[in-house]
Amino acid sequence: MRFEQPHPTTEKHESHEKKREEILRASDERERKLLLSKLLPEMKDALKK
Amino acid sequence: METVSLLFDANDRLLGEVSTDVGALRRFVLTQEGESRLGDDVAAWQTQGVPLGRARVLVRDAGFLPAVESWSRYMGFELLTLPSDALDAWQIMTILPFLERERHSLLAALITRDVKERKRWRACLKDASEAVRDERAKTIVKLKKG
Repeated sequence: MRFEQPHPTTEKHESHEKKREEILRASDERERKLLLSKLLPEMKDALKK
Repeated sequence: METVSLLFDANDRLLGEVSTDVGALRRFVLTQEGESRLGDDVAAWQTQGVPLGRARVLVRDAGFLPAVESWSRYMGFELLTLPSDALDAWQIMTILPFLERERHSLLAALITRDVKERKRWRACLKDASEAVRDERAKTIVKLKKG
């Protein structure tokens, strides 16, 4: 069995990636909310069908 | 005049886009999903035509589009033919974050509307696309700062 300490650069990269993913996920949610808020009532009705 | 029809499966997934001129084929573009499921069939149509009962309708015939409609129903698919003024709205829809099911429902509803209503829907979609684009621009700035 072998254990290795994570390389500091790898840790930094992973944290950066995680932050990036969070930004993108939050952005997707905001875009979706924004889109639905812009639709006409009859368009929203059509989406439910 | 070119007519655009969109082919959806029973789960509202887009399989392809058929462009015709007075019923005859101009262009058939399959999505990735459509390519994997129908690529061989559509390729065979180019030389053998579309099966319609025991006959086959050649791609250059005016009966091509009706034959594809009939084939679609037989396969359990749906072919939605767009009025020319709905094409623009559809193109905007494809870049907006709708679910596949929603995109299909919205398009199916759009093509049943009259010209004036379609114009109103298009304006609304354009407005939404601009708002979404601005939101995306903000995200890009955040990512660059990150």
